[in-house]
Amino acid sequence: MRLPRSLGAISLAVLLVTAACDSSISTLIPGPSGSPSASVAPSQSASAQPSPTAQPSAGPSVVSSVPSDQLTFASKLLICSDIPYPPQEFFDDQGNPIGSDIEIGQEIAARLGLEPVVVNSIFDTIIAAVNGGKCDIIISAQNITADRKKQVDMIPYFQAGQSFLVIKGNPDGIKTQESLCGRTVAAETGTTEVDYLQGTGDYKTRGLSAACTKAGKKPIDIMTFAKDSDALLALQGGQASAYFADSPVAGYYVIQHPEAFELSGLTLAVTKEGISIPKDRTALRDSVKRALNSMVADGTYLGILTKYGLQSGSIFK
Amino acid sequence: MSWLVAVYQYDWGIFFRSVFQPDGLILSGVWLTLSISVVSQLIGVLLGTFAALGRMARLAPLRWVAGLYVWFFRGTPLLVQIAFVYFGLGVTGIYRWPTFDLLGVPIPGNVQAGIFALAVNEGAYMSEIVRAGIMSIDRGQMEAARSLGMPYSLAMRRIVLPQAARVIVPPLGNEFNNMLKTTSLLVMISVPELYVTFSNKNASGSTVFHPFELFLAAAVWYLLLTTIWSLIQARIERRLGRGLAGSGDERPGLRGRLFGSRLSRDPSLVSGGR
Amino acid sequence: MNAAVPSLLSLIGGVPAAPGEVVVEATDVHKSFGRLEVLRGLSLTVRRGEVVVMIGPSGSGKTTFLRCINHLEKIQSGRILVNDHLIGYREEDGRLVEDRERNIARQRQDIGMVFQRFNLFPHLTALENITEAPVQVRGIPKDEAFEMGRALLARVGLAAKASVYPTQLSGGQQQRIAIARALAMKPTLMLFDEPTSALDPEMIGDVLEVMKELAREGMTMIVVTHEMGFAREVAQRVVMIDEGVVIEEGSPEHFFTSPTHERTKAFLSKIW
Repeated sequence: MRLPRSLGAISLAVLLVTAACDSSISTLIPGPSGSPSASVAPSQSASAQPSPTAQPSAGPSVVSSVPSDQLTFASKLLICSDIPYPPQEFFDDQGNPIGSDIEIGQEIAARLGLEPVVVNSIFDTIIAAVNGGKCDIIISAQNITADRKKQVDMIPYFQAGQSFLVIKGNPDGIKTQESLCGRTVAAETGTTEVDYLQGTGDYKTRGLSAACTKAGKKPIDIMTFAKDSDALLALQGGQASAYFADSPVAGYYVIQHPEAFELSGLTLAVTKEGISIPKDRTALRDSVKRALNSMVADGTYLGILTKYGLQSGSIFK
Repeated sequence: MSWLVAVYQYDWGIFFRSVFQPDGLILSGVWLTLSISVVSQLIGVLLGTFAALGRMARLAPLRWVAGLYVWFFRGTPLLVQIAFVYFGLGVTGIYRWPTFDLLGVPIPGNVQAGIFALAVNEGAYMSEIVRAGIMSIDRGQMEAARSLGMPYSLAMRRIVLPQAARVIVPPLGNEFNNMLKTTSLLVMISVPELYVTFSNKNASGSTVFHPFELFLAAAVWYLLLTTIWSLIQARIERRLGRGLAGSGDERPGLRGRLFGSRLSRDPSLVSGGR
Repeated sequence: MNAAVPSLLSLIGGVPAAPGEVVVEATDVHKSFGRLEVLRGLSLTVRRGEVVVMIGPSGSGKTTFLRCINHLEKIQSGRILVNDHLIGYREEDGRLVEDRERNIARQRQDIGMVFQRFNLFPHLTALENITEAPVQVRGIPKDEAFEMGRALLARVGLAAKASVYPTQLSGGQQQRIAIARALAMKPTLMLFDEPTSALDPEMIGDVLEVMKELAREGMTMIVVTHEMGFAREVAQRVVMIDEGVVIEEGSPEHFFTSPTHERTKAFLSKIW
């Protein structure tokens, strides 16, 4: 029995499309320094040439090279980041990614002689994304935790506390850990903030909700959202009493919208954040470390942090 | 270019426990998915029936309102509707979805918003199905009813709609099947239904970072729900077909419904997707 | 007629005995479907107890006119009065305005209609078909309605089929039930739209029997049909309709022995 010719054509088209498409929940965004020609079809050549340095004349020199078999695309550094999480990663008015994490990533790429490409991702599957080859490294305000270190290598590069943001006037009186009991708190899925509230991961013995029930109070109602910005909307919409995120982010929102938000005054646990790299990419990891160190040494690192008001988060003295 | 992927540590215990020894979180996730689906679908059928009647009304304003409703909610993505209803209305203070006490059971605002968005969206699709069902009933039925002195509304209620119901049940069954799965979109507003429960298990806790086993388990649970529904749907269709022409023999059986059959591709038996 | 067996119409309380009273008065009725004018000034008067048979070629407008009598079709101009009331319209400041649905529905309670395709309700049993309208529309209590329904079914010879669904019945049986269904509303006028045209020949007789009995007992009937035998036997008047107007009317004898109009002769020669 002959299949209709159209069936064959359609199947072929479907195969081609699925082969060419990146199926993860992420979008490719070329960084401002890169040409927006980031075509999706992977280059087939496995020629292990360190990429030619097409540096602007005022740029830093390449401190390390990365064997192209440690990269998803030769000559590009794919950086997974969950945007927005300002001021560490967010979009400018033209839709370009900016922020301290983004600039640190772009600087690292430059020092490795690679073109940075930012891949907007969803935080709770961002590790699966990097391990699945959707990107090469993650710079996304990830706190270093034991669970995460089992999945990826993490290079410390920043530190931050965790703060509660509330509506201006603090209508629900969020001031102390106790005041959280029985309240609704919004946070992003997969963050250490959620671990802290729930008492999972690195916070098994100091879960905030467990502390409430132990003291005979009502547990904390935790609302988690796939995108951090949605958690903020829940605060604005009155569905949550507080929004729980890293201090730089909470602080950023207050600076941008002082008429709408204020910090609750409750800040917890300063923790280190790390750049995540798949465990089997040791050469890439070492190169990234070298690039980071060179940035610290010549002051570029502190310069980026200062630009976003985050110099207090520097971990390098 | 590198296709290198880090070696993944499978933990099949997570899968088997999630499927065969579900904990309270999974069970409450299943229950929430079920209850939201049922409530949303029922309200959707009601809204759809009114919208269908509205589209066939003699009064032009009724027709316009119904037409506008169907056009808008079929023409925009459900995800956008959910986000608008919950975040949009909440942030502007138009409606903040406070928790509602239903006979002692507190219904959280996001569950209400989810049901609202799902029901209103479903109503737009149901209206087309109901309309097609009503129009498939021979004109002579309405004429006979009216010549007996029945007003239009009585004739619709007692004569046309009951017959249309039988035509509507198969595509309605498909809609409910969709609804069971579409509730997963409520991840957007943090409703702890089935998908979100597994997504949270992947994001934190002892089962963290095992998306393969966890989402496979989630799929199994959805399959369980939709398969049970198929059985119920087949039963309902058999019941309604009693005493009427074209019942039983020409409809796709359970096997046909689950795995596809020549008959289940009959366009009159299939609803539109979104 | 056997005295022990109740007459068909007595089961529904009989019919008004007011011979000569006008039941239907249609004056200069015009009706168009879009641009096609089907009724072009049709006038007809039907009195109490009369059996009027309407004949004519297809497309002549006879079925359309019948459906205008109970306002299943709207008219563009002219008037139709049933039992001295305008049907479908009411007077407002000297103009004719379409009447409210409820009023039309109430008037239809007194007009029974039997369709060519029976139009029984397939989701109800034979008995339920008959009792549905009396219960829902006239508000008759269920047991009373069921009792009357069973009696009607028995009189049309289908007592055993009370709990059977229409799809399990032959055309002739369905049509007899349709007649019983219309009668259950105690109409004072019955309209028949080619009641036997969709039936197999061997079933036509049974249906015609029921109709003849109705006629003999004094029901006012307007029948569109090709069954000339029926017309000869029970009709008081035959009306020939062609191109939307009445072109000839008279007693059955007149029609079948000496029709005057050319077109009448042509039509009758084809079917008779």
